[in-house]
Amino acid sequence: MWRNDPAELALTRAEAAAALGAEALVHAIAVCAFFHMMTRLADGTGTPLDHGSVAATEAIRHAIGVNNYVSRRHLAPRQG
Amino acid sequence: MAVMHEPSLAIPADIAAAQHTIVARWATPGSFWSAAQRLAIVEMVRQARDAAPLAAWVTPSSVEGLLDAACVLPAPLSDAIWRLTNHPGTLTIDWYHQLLDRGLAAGPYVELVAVVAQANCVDRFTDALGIARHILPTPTPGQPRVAIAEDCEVRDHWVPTAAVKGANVLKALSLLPFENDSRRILSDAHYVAEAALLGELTAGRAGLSRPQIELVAARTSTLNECFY
Repeated sequence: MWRNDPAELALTRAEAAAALGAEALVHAIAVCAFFHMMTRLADGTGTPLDHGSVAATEAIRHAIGVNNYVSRRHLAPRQG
Repeated sequence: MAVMHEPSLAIPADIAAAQHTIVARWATPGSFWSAAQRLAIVEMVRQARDAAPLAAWVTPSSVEGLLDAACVLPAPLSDAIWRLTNHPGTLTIDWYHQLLDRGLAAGPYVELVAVVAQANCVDRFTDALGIARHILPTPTPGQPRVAIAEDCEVRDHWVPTAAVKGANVLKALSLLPFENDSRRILSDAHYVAEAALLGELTAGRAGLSRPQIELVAARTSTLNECFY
């Protein structure tokens, strides 16, 4: 991810705008920023995978390696 | 009307309006934190993002001179803000329970997570566009006024949630309707209108198809190592 290099970021913006168009680039940045929010909400509140997704995603989760993420350690809430 | 900041890039009016609403909300008393404390949380997010990287297990309060001694936030809160901002994929339920054991209640924690997450959204948008971050307003005087949803308890999440239907991530802030509404405001402008989230899955927006939007979302989630 970007670490405080304005020149590199400006170049990336220019390349992306040339490929996508300016409007699409701005919206892609908006979506990216929004998901920097949602990932923090999910991981910060211990949001578990939805019940309906657990079995359906078992194979793909294993295939792409997300089961190795530390953030999968959403243990059962503390009782009492 | 769109706001121009570079010759070829314009911020859509709905995104600009949503961000100004959220910045104003930071400067109002919340359910558990005063306006000054909420703005201090945003300032701490900015400090965390701008600092040289720290390993996830190193707390900023343990590094001499890293945190401003005049900050109104206690050290455990500052440490939590840095961890949420820079290492969200490393959070565990044990880490959360350690915060509870150090005296932070679940309600204030949920509000903290909400404001930290919002600040990451708003600032990362301006940073990526190479434009100035929003100037933080003067805090509105007044004490926090607790406004929580009814029938909240710990269910599937670490934190208490309301008995509502829907995707688990949309329930994450259901304890605090004000913060949940802020999430919706940002969702409608930045991503997809919440009412259409599971409706028309092929409709695009602003030159991006819905599959392209979801690809950006998934790639961002991967970079953050978000299991959900």
